[in-house]
Amino acid sequence: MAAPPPKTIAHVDLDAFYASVEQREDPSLCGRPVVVGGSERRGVVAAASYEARAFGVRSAMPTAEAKRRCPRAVFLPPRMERYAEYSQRFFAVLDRFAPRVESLSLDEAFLDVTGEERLFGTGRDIAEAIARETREEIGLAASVGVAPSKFVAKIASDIEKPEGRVIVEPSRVQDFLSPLPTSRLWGAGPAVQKRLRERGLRTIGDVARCADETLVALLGPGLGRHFAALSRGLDEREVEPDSEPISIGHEETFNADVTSHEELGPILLRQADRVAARLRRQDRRARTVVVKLKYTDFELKTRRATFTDGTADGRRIGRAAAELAGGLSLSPRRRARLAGVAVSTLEPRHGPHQLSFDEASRQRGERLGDALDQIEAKFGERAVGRAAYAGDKRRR
Amino acid sequence: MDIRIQKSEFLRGLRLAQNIADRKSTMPMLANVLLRASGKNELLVAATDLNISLSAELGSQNESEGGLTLGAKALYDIVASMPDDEVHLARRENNWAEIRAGKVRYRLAGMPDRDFPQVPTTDDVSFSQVSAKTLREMIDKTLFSVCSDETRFHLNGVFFESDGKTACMVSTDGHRLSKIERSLEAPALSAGIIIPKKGVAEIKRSLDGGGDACELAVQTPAQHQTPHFYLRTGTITLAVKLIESEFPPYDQVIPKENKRRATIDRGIFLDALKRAQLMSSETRGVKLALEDEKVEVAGDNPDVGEVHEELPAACEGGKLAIGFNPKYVVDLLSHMDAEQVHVELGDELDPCLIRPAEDPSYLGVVMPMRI
Repeated sequence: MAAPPPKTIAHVDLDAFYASVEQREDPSLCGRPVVVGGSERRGVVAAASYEARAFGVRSAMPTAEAKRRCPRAVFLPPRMERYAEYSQRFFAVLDRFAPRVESLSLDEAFLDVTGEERLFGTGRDIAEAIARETREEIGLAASVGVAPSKFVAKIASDIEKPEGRVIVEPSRVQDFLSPLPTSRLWGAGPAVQKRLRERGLRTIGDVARCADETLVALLGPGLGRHFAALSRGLDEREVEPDSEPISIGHEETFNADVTSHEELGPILLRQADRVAARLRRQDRRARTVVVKLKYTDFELKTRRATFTDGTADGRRIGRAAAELAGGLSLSPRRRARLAGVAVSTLEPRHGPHQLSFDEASRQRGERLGDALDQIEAKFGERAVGRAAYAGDKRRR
Repeated sequence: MDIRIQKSEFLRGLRLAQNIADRKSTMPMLANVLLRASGKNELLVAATDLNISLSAELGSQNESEGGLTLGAKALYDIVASMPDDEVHLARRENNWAEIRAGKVRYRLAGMPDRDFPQVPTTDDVSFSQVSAKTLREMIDKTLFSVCSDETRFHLNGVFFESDGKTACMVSTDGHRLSKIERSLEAPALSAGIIIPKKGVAEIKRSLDGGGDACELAVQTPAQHQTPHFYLRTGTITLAVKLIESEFPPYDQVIPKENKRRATIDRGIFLDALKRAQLMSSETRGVKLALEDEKVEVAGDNPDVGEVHEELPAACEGGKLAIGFNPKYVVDLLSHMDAEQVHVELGDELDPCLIRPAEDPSYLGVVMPMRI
C-alpha cells in the first residue's frame, strides 16, 4: 500500500491570549505582569502574561496563590465578550490561509495548509506570514508550528513559545520527537507516564524504539497501539473544519452565593440578553432554553424547555430560564455559586417559521434586541441595559 | 381491614386511580392508592398527585374496617389478572396486604393509610347535573390544542366559561386555538377558569366509563378555598386543582372579518393535507394556493421530495398563497364532524379561521407559517 502523500498542518496559538488583549488595550500594562482570572476568594487564573509567568504564575492556579507568588501583578477580571471579538478577527486572518481551519478554543487552531506552499512558499514562509498578519491586524503575538500531523504541529507551536516558529519537515519528525519527554504524548496522563517510566521509558524516542507488543502488554491494545504510532509521529487525524455551533451559553461563578430566586431572576435575564445578542450576531433563533445552577456543594442541576418556535429575544429566553429555575430549590441553606443560561436547537433567524398570535409583540422584543446591539456596537457593552438589571447586584 | 369485593367493581376504581397516582413524585406515598373500608359495605379507593384527586366509593363486603395504601399500578395489575370474580383483601402485620382469589394468593407491601394526603372534600360544593356526552364532546374538540410548553403555564389548560345555560371551552398554544360553545347547564361562573391539561384528560377518561349523566361543580378562588373543578360520575368523584392564572383575551385573535373564504369538502381536504404532511418537516410547512374553483396543496422538503394536489373548492375574495404547519390544520379538521368546512383567510400572514359549515359554535384559528 502506498503511503498517503504527506500533509502539511499548522497549529497556531496566541501567546498569553487574555493577558495580551489587556496589555494591548491598556499600553500602561505592557511589560508588567498581568493576571486575568477570577476573584481572589475562589477564582482561578485564566491567563498570565509572560512577565507574570516569570514569577511562577500559571493558568488554572488559584488566584490567591498567584497573588502570593507575584503580589505586584495587575489582576484583572476576564472580559470574555472582548476576547471573543479578538478571536473572531483572529479566525478571519486564519481563514485566508487555508480552506480547512479547525478551532480548538478562542485562541488556538489547526490549519490544513497542504498544497498551500504554491501560494505562500515554504512551511516557514507560511508560519511567518500567519504570525505577521496576526500581529499587524489584531496586535497580538502568535506561536506557529508546522508539521506533517496535528500531534507534531501542536508540540511544535508550543516548544518555543512565545513567538515561536517551529517547522518540522517530514524527514525530521523522529529526530524532533525522540528527545521529548513522554508527557508530550497526546493522551499520556500521569498514570500512563508512570507505567512507561517503570519500564524505563522516559522519552518519546524510548517509546518509539519499543516493540508494539511490549506497549500493548503494558498499556492494553488500544492505548498501546495509540502511543506506538504517536511516538513515531504517525497521526492520521484530519483537520476538521468547524461545524455550526449547536448551542450558545453564558454562565458565571459568583463572588457571593445566590440565595433566592428574586436575586437570581435579574442575573438570568442579563445572561439571557448576552446569549440573545450572540444569537442575533449569528443571525439565528433558538428553540431550546437550558438553565443551570451549581450549588455550593458543587451539585449541578439543569432544566430545559423547548418552544414550538424559535426566538432571539433576551427577555423571552430570560423569562423561560427564570421559570425553569423556579423548579430548583434556592434558599440561604441551599445556595448557588454558579448560574448559566444556554440555548440550543438553533435555526436561521430569517428562515421559514411558524407565526404566533402575539407575533407583533415578539417582533418588538427582537427589534429591541437589534437596537441594543447597535448601541453596544457603537458605545460599548455597558452603554445601555434593562431597568431590571438594577436588581442584579453582581452586574459589573 | 378485611374485605371481599367483586373484581369488576374494584377495577372500576383502580383503573382511574392508577392513572392519577404519581410514580415519578419525590413523595413515594403518591404512587399508592388509599383503600379504606368503613361500615359493612363501603370501600373508599382514593389516589392523588396533589393536583388531581380521585375518590371512588365502591361496594364491598367488609369483615372488618380499616385502611391501607398499596402501590396503585401493582394493585391494578394484580386485581386485573385474578382468575375469579371475587377478590379478598386483608391487611396483615406491618402494612402487608394479602390479596386472594380462588387459589391465588398475593402478598403486597403497603404503607399506613394515616400518611396519605388529604383528598379534597365536596361537602360544601353544590353540583349541577349535565350531559356527559356534551361535556365529552367539548373536551374532545379542545384538548388537542392545549399548550404543552410548561413555561407558559397559563396556557397549559382548557379555559372554561359558563353562564348557567351555555358553556364555552377554549384552548390555545399560541399558534392555534380551538373554541366550542354548547348548551350545558353547568354552574354559572362570574369569570372563566383554567382546567389543567392532565386534569381534563382524566375528566374525559372518567366520563368514558359512565353513562350519560354526570355532575359538575366549581369552587372558584373567590371562595377562599383552593379552586377546584369537581366531576362526579356515579360514586366516583374527581377533583382537579385549577391553574390560578389569567387566560389571554382569546377573542382578540379570532378574526371577525375575512377577505377570503374557501368552502372545501372536509374529508378530501384532510386526506390531501395528510399526504402533503409526508413532504413537510417541522420547519417547512405545506403551501395552500387558493384559486376560484380549486385549492392547490403542495409540500416540498429538500431532504425528501415534493407533492402537489388540486382539490375542488368554492373560493371567494381572490387568489392567495399561504403556508401552514399541516399538523395544526389536520388536528382541527379531524375534530370536526361536518361534511363541508369554511376556511376564512385574510392575507398570507394573517390568522386563518376554520369552521364546520353547519356548526357556527365550533371554530379553530391557525396562524400561518412564514415560508
